[in-house]
Amino acid sequence: MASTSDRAGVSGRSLAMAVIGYAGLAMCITLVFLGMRAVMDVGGACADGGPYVSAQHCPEGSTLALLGGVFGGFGFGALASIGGAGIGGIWVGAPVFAWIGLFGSLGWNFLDYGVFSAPTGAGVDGTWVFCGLLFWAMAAGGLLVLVPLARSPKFAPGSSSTVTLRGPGQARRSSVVMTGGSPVTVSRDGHTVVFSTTTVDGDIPDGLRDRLETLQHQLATARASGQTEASREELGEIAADFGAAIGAALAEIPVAPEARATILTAGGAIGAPAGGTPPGHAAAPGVDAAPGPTTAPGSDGAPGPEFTEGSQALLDRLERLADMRDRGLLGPDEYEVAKARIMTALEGRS
Amino acid sequence: VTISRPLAGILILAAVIVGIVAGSWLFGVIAAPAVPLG
Repeated sequence: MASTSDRAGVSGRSLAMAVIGYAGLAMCITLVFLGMRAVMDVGGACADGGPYVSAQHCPEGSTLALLGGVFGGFGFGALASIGGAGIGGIWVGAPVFAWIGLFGSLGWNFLDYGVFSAPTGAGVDGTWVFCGLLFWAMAAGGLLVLVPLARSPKFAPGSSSTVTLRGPGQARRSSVVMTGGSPVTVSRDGHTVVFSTTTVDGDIPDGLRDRLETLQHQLATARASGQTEASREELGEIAADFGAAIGAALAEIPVAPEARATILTAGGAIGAPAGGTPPGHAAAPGVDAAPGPTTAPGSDGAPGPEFTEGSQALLDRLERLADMRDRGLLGPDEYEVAKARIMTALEGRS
Repeated sequence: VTISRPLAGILILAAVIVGIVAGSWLFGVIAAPAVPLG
């Protein structure tokens, strides 16, 4: 599995959009909140313009604040939603936050003017209290949406990873939805193995999908635990298991044999090994470099030249790893671990 | 450029506070004190 720990973070672009969007949203809701208070200061109703004589003109600036706040809120809300979707977790809920903020603050205005700031001697204004409670009930309804949203694994940070397998000139064949992943792309000769953050339903059997999800979660946990010697070893083992599961996925979906072979080798021989090699030795992209022939289970059983792991193939893989490191697909530590394994394998052949 | 998720959350919360302050300031700029009825 080619990845560096910082790739599990948030892209600067998504964050910038979310920051601007959320800030703008807060500004717009504040404008509406203050604009409403200005109108309530003059009795709760006002009018301007038209052929009629207004009994109560609107306070200066309140119309601009209310209209600007409402329409600006839509624009900034869209920006916050797009940015928040790139971050994941609770931040995907920008519209829900806006809903709660808007109705919560406006509800407070009704209650404040109906009870606490009521004109002297006027007593409690039941109508405004009713409006305030109604608005607060609507804001609470937003909380009912936000809580399950925050807990949903679909929106968990770093979740919704997808494995997409393609051959040259082929449309997407299938995909596997996983959780806890981070975006990684390994590409070679037009064949692509993509670990993206896009959620696409696939036709992988549920059992295999569950296993991939578990492995991906373990991989993310191992990454997050730091780069100690023990965790590097653990990372390699999990990545190897992950590679085996990907190999099993390859066997389950209709990828052309040529594409399958290229995907396996391009990804660093992703797949379960043949010939009785323990499953834990199956390689993930750029992490494990287990020598020996590898193939995906369920393939035609006649390994092509791509599956042969001679010394030249190991040297090729070493070169490929360096290339992946240079392109930022592989962290320095991961590169060193993978390189050490290849060197060990090479020494075993000499 | 990648930023850790906890830091991203803190930055967004800070942005919300900045937005509230900016909204209050902007309202003060565009609005005049209310003139009560009568």
